[in-house]
Amino acid sequence: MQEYITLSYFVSFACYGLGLIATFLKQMRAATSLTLIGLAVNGVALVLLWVAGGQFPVFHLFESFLLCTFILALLHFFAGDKAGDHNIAKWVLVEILILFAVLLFYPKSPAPHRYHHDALFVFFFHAFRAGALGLMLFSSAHYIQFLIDGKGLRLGHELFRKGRDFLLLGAIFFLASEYSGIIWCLNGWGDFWRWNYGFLSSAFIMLYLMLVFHIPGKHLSAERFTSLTGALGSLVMIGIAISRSAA
Amino acid sequence: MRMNAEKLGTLSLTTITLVTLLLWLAWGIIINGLDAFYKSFESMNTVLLREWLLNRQGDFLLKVWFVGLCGLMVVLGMNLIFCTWSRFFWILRVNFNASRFLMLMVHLVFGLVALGHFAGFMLGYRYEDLRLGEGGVFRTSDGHEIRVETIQWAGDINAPRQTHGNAPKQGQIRETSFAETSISKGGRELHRDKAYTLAPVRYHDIQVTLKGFVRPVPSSGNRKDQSLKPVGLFVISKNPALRLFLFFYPLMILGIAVYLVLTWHETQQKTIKRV
Repeated sequence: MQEYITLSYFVSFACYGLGLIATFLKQMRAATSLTLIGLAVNGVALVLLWVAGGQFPVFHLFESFLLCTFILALLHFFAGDKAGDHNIAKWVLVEILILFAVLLFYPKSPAPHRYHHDALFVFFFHAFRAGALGLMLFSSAHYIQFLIDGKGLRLGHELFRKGRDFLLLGAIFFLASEYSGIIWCLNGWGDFWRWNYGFLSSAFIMLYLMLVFHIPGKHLSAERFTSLTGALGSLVMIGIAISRSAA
Repeated sequence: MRMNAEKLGTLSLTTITLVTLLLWLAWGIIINGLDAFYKSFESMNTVLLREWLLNRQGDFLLKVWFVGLCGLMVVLGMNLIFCTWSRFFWILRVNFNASRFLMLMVHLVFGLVALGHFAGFMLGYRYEDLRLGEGGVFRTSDGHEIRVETIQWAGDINAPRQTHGNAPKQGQIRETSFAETSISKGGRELHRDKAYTLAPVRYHDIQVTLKGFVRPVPSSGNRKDQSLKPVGLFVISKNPALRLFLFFYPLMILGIAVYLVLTWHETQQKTIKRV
């Protein structure tokens, strides 16, 4: 089973990578096909992890990032621009490839089973986090493109709106993950808060999201600054996820 | 006076406070990773923060950091109050809009969540890492008596830290290992239930949490004495604000979700109208 998981990871990685090259070459039909194959194989990798580990694949970085790329690719196909804006496709693929590149340094195996993995709130904590990261990355793709498209854009542009909508949805998923974590901590340690890296970094993400939604001004430069901080939000979350996995 | 109130309620102050809070938290995250502060942070987890703050033995720098964090949250809270006060009547009388009004409510609920969080640091009590075997009793500061009636442990007593390990049968051990505890006051039993790991016993605001099982210290000196029963590692806590906190938190999430639904296409529609 282990070798099939590794194989599906590399095949998916390669398909997404070729999809990105095709996007740069503006071969959109090939890009869509390759991304779809990448998505399907990504899904196969998740199923294999589920079968091999005996638990839904959300518990460690290899699993959660694979789930995140799967969600991100799904969002691209089902919530993306119907007109087929290849720039958004490009950024979504770049983000997927960054996550896959990070996973090169992690064992391609399911998370070992731990006693708390059976608890529903522990599962929700991890699953909502993966969902939040996927949504935030999708939002980032729109914010990045909004920044690149320059000053010619009008206020409240579609790209900015989508970036804001999906970031807010990501924030809802993140808060749901936090609430599950609160229940987990309360049941396991008798309190809903611990003074450690995990909790402090979660508070950091929450305050960061609050900052993005509270940037003052109703003019283009304010929207550009919101886009910049919003786009960086997913990077902050990836950095914290990596450092938590190393802790 | 009015000018000051207006300044305290601006979005610019929100942004400045949030940026400062982020920097302050980053400082906390950095010192949390330093070996020199590890024990100090751990001491914050073992007692109620009210007691930790009043204790002279704690790390001074960490106390400065914590007080600074609370101070910044107070500024954010004041900003929230003044901002809400100035916009509340404007939204109600001048320019009523369902989504704006909902977001105002979400901000108020956030304030209550933050207050509930802070109350959890200061109110009630917390006793950490209590080792109680069968028949073991602990008396809380408010006169409650927590007694461990029976302990059932399905794992291997000689295996270290069974409940927090990663052996494959941990789930089964967790489901069949428990500590039956009773809560009494003035000699009258008020409540009795089984505490499992991740499934504590609750009676009103009192919570008896079973963190795990540990080997008892053998009096005979034989550390592999199979006749010894493990003792439970407990946390006994009381947080009067917990229920409100747990109620308002999902309410806040729900409020944001409804707000998102109401505003999903709002900006786009506005743009179309403008064009």
